[in-house]
Order: sequence, then structure tokens, then C-alpha cells
Amino acid sequence: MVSGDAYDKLELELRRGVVVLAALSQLHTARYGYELRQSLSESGMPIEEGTLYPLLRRLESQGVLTSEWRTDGGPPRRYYVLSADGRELCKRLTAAWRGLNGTMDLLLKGGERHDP
Amino acid sequence: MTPDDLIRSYVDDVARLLPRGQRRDVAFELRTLLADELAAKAAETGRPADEEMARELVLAFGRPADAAARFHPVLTIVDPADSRRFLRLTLIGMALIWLLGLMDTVLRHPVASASDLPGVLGILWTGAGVGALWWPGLLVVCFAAGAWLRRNRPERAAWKPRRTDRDRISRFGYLAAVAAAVCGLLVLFNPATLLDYFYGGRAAPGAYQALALDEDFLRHRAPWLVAVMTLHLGLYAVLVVRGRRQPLTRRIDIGLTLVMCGVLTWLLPGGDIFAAEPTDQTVKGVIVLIVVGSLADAALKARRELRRAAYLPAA
Repeated sequence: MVSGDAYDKLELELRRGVVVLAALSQLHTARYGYELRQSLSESGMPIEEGTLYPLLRRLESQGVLTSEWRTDGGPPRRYYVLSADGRELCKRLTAAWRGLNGTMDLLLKGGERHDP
Repeated sequence: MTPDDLIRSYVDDVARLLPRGQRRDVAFELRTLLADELAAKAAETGRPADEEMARELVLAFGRPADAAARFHPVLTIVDPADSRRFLRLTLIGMALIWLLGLMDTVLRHPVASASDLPGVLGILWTGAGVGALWWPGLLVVCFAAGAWLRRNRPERAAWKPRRTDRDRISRFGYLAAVAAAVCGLLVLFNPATLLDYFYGGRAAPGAYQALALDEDFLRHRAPWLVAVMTLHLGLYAVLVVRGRRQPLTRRIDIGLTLVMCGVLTWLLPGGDIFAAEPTDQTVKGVIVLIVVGSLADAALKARRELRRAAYLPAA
């Protein structure tokens, strides 16, 4: 029997693989860090703040996102949105994810048939 | 400490570890985000934010060093895939340097009584002990250069198959080694011939004295050395004729190397080799290096031999 600790680690690795695409999928409209985290969490994809906020910065430095400071009546917040390259990247990653998802479905169904 | 002060203190510690150009901007954004998180936490629990709540929040964010590291691309000096090899080479190298240092220290400062021991250990520690740290430093530089090359010139660092026939030998190389060893033995036992050849019989008398062998060494220990070297040279001559190593010659080679190391080690404390003290000390230092190098070579050959056996199919 696989221990709960091993399950947690492997599940975390699975999630890590989709964190970037999950974040990109929500940035077709401009959002600030906390708002994005809330949005992802409400959709069933909670991402730790320590992972998400630095990720936004890294994606921005890679040219995938653009950002600007806005006040909108409240405290100043940095809003992130997909750049033109980011939109293209998101499209390609989405296609890759769907392909992968389909393949995994087939594999897992095959595996279930062999279960005793 | 108020929750705001705690967050400010944490953010300052993170910002200090960021590149200078990023500091102000990231710090400002991080403070805002943590304030948002704290407000949400407070709303969720239905009580005002306090120090404990703020502490929990920043601890979940990670150590300042970890948090700062996530804001820029990962910097790897030694590739994780190389870590085990790096550690192994570090330990083996340092062990060898310490062994050499120990032998050198004991030769230079013989331990006559227990009271000499602390002094000798002190010399060993300040000499080879601390001095050996150059080795891991050199390895870090080499591994970092290798990692940089792999990342920036992947085509040059691509894997290439090894030469499959490792038993084939270079006849010319082995012949040259045999010739050099024979010449070395002749010069060792007749240094005057060499001096006469180069100086036409007009070398300074001090030069003859410096290269004169100790009488006791010549009578009692030299014959053993010559015998073992002759056996080794005989093996090399066989290899030159055959052009390749075979299982038996490989094993004889390892055995003879170990015997040679034993004889050379026996020579060290057994008395003078050369009559002149400076020459004797220099030659003994060289012998220590030869013994350590030969032992490392024998260990590698033995390991390869054991691997060959391990790769054979089980009966």
C-alpha cells in the first residue's frame, strides 16, 4: 500500500505540471495576484501564494505576461494580462493539454479493464 | 509587533535577497498581496488580523531565501545529476590528499613518543588538513564549467560512445614505457654514467655525491626492487608482443602493481635510499606520489575487473 506521504508528493507533482497553464487560462483579462489565486481556487485549482506570485513575475520576465500598476479606487495593485506571445503560448499549451488528456483517458481506461 | 510590521519585516528580508533592480517593485507588490491574503484570512476566521495570523501567513510563504529564489530563474552550479559523482570525487580526492599529507608529515616529523603526537597532528591539520579544501573548490569550478557547457553548447556536450575495445594497447606507448623504465633503472644504479655523458667527466664532485646510493640500500633492499620491476617489465614485454590485455594479464598486472606498492612502501622507513639527505628526502616524496598513484590505478583496474564479472550472465 502506497503511503499517504507518497500520494501527496506525487499528486503535488501532477499539479505542478499544470500550474502554468491554469494561471495563463485565467489571464485573458487583467487580474492581480490575489484575485487570480481566488479565481483559481474557486475553480478547484488552489495554488499556494508562495508558488503563484513569483510565477507571475517569471512569466512576465519571459514576455508571456505584461503588467501594470492600477489603483481602481483601492490600494495600488499590479495587474497581469497575457501578451500577444502569451496568448499564442496559451493556445499551444491548451492543445497539448487536450492531447495529453485524451491520451491519459485512453491509457487509464485500458488500465481499468485489466484491474481484477 | 503589529501584523503590518511583521509583513513589512518579512518583505524587507525577501527584498534584500533579490536583484537590486527588482527589489522595490517586488517588495511593494508582495506587501500588497500579503495584506490581501491577511485580510481574507481575517474575514474567513471572523476576527481581526493579529500577529499570530500574520506569522502563519508568512511562514507558509516560505523562508525569505526560498521566497526570493522563486522570483528569478533557478541558478544551478552543480547539476543535480552530477551531485553524487561530485560528492564521490570530493571524498576520494580529499582522502587521498590527507593520506599523502599524513605520510609526508610522518616522514618529516617522525613520532617518537606519544607527546610528539599533538604537535604532528597540528602540523597535519594546518598543512594538508585545511589545505585539502582546494580540491572541492576546484571540483566546483570544473562541474560548473561542465554544466555551463552542456546548457550553452549541447551539441558539443552530447554523449559519445566509448572505445569498445579497452583491452587493445598501444604497442608503441608500452614499448616506450619499457625503454624509459630500463633507462631509469640504469641511471638509478649508475648515476655517474649520466653525469659523464652530459658533462664529459667534468661534473662537480657534489653532483656525484648527491646521486650516490646508500650502501645498505644497495645491498639489502635494492635487489627486491629490481626483482619486482623486472617482473613488471616482463609483463609489459608480453603485452607488447600480444598487442592486447587478456584476463590473466589484467589480473597479474593488478597483483604486480600491489606488490610494487608494498615494496616501495617498505623502502620508505627502512633507511636511506640515497646517501645525501636532500636527494633521499626528495626521492622518498616522489615514491609516496608513485605509491598513491599506483594504488589509485590498481583500484580502478580492480573495479573494472569486478564490473566485467558482474556483467556476465548468471549461470
